[in-house]
Amino acid sequence: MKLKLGHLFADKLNLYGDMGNVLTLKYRLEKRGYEVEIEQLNDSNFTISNYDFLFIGGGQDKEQQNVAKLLESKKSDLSKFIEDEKPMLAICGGYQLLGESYLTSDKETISGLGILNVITKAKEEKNAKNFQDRLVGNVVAELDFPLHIESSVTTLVGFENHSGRTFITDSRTSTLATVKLGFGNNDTDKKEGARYKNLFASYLHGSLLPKNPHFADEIIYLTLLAKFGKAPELKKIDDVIEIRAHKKALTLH
Amino acid sequence: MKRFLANLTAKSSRFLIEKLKIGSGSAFPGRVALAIDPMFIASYNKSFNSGRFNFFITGTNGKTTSSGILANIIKVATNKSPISNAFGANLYYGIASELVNSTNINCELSSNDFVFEVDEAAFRSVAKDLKPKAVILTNIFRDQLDRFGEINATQKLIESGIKAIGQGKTKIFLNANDEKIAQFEFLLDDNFEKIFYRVDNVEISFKEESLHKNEHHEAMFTASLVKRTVKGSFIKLYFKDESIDVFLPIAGDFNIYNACAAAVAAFHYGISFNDIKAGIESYECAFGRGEKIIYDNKELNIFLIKNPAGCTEVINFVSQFDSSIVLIAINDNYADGRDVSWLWDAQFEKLACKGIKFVCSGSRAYDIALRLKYAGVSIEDIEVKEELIASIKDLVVKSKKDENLFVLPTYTALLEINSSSLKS
Repeated sequence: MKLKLGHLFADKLNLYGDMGNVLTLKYRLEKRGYEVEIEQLNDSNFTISNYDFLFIGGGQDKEQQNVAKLLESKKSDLSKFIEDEKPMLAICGGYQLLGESYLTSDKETISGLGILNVITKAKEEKNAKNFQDRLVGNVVAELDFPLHIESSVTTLVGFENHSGRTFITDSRTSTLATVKLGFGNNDTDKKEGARYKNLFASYLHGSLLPKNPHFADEIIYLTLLAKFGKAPELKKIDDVIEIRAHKKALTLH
Repeated sequence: MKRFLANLTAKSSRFLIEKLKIGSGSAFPGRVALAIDPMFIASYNKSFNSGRFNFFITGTNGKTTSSGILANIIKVATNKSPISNAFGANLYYGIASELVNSTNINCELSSNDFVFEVDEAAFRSVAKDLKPKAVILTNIFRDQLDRFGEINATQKLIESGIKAIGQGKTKIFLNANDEKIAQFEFLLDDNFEKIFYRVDNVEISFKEESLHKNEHHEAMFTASLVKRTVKGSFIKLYFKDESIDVFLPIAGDFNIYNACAAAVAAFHYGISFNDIKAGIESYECAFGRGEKIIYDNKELNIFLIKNPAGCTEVINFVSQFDSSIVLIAINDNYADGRDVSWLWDAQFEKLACKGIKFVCSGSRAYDIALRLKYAGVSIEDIEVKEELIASIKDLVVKSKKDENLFVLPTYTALLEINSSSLKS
């Protein structure tokens, strides 16, 4: 059984080790006997419906805007992909550009793809409490939704590094997790990431999935469910190093 | 008078630190000096500009090695060591400390020649104070993004530093193979003389290859790899119709770029090819840049790793050897970069399926263990021991006679090795 994972604009949005997310999905699917093909989708010459899962990472502001332009022609296909409950993971810059808009520090509004009901603002007012230019550091957050798979941990761990502050604008979009350490989406609401159907968006690097094997498996579960139309049985695999790395990250500050 | 007092107090503080053994304290005397005289560095501007050589070297990777080679070439050519921060104290306070170390009690410097490696973040302030005649740019890679945010930010830091030097013909030496460096041709106006250098047959992982690499190549100072060996590389340096064969006594393709950067600068300031050759061949590498430690009659090869590009180059080197044990020590202190995401951008895949055994150490030992696992290394070949020095000693004891031992530490892990009982 073969699965196709599409890595969107891997050449332009690949700044913080986000490649690890795709590697993790591949590794964990192969351990369960699936054949996996990763395709890097670096121009506009691809068909979104050919893929079972999509990933988009973070990059520099300039690259993000280029990618948003290149993706514009794929907007309705991508929208259908998400409405069909196929899973997608977007990290940092990828998260921001899937949103409705980005308000720069010069009060200029750059349109996003509008796939996800969030807006991002360059930074909070200078007189805001605990003002910081960029939100940088380790993050520990408790997942806001129950998992389909069995797991001994229910936290997400990672590292954030962003100047944009993101806010959810629509009640159909939920958050990923509640922040225990760090900032997450913005300086104020202690929430991290966004979820609409099976589109997961997060600010966490690290990479995110290697140290959060339960979250990786949840995405795998949803990918198989969307592809084959029935709940998959996920075989347990050796996670000793993954869980130790996760638990170590829980102790960071 | 203020400078005299600053220098004197800073010298006493260094004496105290050494006597009381409270750490290496390399930046501390500089802090003291600058607290008393905020213009301490700037006050050396005149002496700095009175000599024949005053170089700044900045960029992501290769600063320590290229400045070390350049200082050695100048030493060979002039019979006198230039003032140089050979131990890598390259932030604002570190430069001040180096000035304290290099003066007598009357603030007289031991030399009027300087080779300073300067951190990208400190570059602007130091450049503004000392106004160097020449700046050598090595490369711009992704490094510690939690400090600078983005790669382009690093380019901007360097650009604003060079512009702070201001009037006069400052020479800027540019690595033609790195697009982010070659772009300075357009970022800088004619107040700056721009001189390119290149390596013509060795690629290292620059993100996008520069268009300038093959332009005007007859007129570009060039290094070519002739032959790689475990002990170092045979290279050829050439400019127009002059050329010379040189043995570079530190292994790794990235060091050819460092040697070339040092050589082009020396050459433009009138040092002969013969002196350049002698300077490179007698260079002794800086700690952690391919240095060897002998412990319990076994040889440990130490390579600092700190960002994906540099780490991948070290991986390429290590992957040439059979039957090796590789210890990787990852810390996440500020000086290492708090974010360990970069491990996922370094190509550890090249070390998988080679029968190499790994030991993972440091405060983020499990992160590197995980990286190796997903790179395809079998989990039976991955051992995790967070305590660094104990894990190195254990490795030495367990290793067989013919095994090559490599230690790849991040910066603070390297400092820990440097101050441990392994080095005595």
